[in-house]
Amino acid sequence: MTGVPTRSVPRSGARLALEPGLAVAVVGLAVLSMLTGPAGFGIPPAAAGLILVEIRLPRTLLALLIGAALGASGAALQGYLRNPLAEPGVIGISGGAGLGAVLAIHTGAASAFALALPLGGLLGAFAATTLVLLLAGSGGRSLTLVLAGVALGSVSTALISAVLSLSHNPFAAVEMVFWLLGSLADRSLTHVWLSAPFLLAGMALLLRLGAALDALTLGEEAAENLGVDLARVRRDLVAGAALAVGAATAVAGTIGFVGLVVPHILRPLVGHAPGRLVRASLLGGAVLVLAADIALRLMTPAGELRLGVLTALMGTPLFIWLVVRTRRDMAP
Amino acid sequence: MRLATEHIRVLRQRTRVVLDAVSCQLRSGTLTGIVGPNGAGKSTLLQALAGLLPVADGRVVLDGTPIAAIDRLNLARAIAYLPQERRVHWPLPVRDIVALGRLPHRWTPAGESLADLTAIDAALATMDLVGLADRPADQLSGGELGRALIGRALAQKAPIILADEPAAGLDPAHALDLFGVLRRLASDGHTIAVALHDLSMAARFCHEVVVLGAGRVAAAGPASQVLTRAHLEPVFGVQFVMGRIEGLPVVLPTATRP
Repeated sequence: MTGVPTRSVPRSGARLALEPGLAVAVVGLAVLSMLTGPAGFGIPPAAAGLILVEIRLPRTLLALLIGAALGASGAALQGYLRNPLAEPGVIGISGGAGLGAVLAIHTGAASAFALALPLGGLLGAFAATTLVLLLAGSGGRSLTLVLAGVALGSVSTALISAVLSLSHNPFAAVEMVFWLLGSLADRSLTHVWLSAPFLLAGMALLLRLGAALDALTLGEEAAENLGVDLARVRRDLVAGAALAVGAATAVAGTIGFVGLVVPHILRPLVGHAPGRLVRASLLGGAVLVLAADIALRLMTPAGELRLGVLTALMGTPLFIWLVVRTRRDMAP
Repeated sequence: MRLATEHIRVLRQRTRVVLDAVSCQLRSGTLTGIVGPNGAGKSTLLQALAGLLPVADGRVVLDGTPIAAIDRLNLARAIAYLPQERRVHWPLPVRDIVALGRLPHRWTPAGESLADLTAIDAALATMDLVGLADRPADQLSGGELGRALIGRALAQKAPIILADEPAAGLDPAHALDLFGVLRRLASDGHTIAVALHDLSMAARFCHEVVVLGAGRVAAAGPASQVLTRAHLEPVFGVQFVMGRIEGLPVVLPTATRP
């Protein structure tokens, strides 16, 4: 039965154009982000250079990297758990990062030196990851991972609330709440250098999982028969998501909905293949966060609205639209 | 290739013995049927043969090498295993499902090679899926999905194929086609084992049959010698009528034994 080797299904043009299209959008939005801000043209060149390098460049780079990290993590987790509702929160990492950062503020470490906040977040993320992996056990099954992650996420949320309610200093409490809401304002290049290695390493781990995630479409047994090492996939997934989401949360606070919505929107456009979806969602996440951060600066130049609030506000209608679409598709 | 279990004992939930002292062998050029009542250990035996389960005692041997010593990728190229679970978790089109069978041959990010395309197209044609190639998994009937998953196992191009109830849910035409395909693959030199419940099909298509009862081998050997009332009735707890209709073997359960 060896006929002429032709593709029985032509790859559709839309599928091929998706990733280059998203890449172009990322570049375009990054340029736009460098051009957006309260300072207009006509200021002295020295000041303009300073604003571009010290204020807008870190903001643009962080929006791009963090968006990409959140998008890729969401897609990889959804693919691994084979559940379209999975997001970085379900394995407890963002909760751990949030707790670490809140503790850094509460103990006063954050006011002692500026990097204590992101470092606290990173530490919290790694502590949470270690605990989740220990709790989930050594087998390669995905259910225990979710159970352990949800348990740890709940504990983190409870402890964050405890720290908030125990905080005697109202300014510290306000700082914690604002930080938890997520923002890219007033970040420096130091934040970029601190988080970029973790973000990039995490994304590299997640991108390598593509083929294993595709194989898991057929269930864990069939994937194993196709050569997938389930235990290693789980380890790489958790490590990759922890690096990416932990570092993102550590420098920018909680930016919700990106990891949930971006893979959802892009999934049909990549033919539902979970491996391709990780790549596409990496680009799509960067597009969404860059766009949201630009919109934020245009709407409230003085910076009252927080990025995490805006992504949630943007994400919710998209999600409702997805519900409606799914309902229509499922109609008899 | 020759795949064999040597006195294997397999536990589930750490203590429940599912297989005990099971020795069987699958040979190249042979289609082996594994039959037995529900819970007899058919699926467990196939999983153990595929190297997917830890074996508490004894060993599984592939051409003289203990299967535990073979790395996953070489094992995936040698054995295609079709689980009983017929689930595709994302609505991939049929062609992409079949293409997953090529993963053991291309774990690098490179695109599909000529060999991949040939294997995928051949598997689609063999399983009568060419017209369904673009249809997403969530719009397939149970039997069509089953055929797509068998197509995946065929595209894997492994010399050994282990299939857990591959004919479940197939209409008579596609079930006959499937056993015809398996039989042809066996005569091409493949080593094939299927778990199945249709004893008439087993009598008609399988060269060898292993009868499992309560985790042990109750009988094994050439189909004509194993599929007899003496071997089957105590294991299944059913009375059978056996005979031939127009030259084809028939094994018909008639009544549960008192």
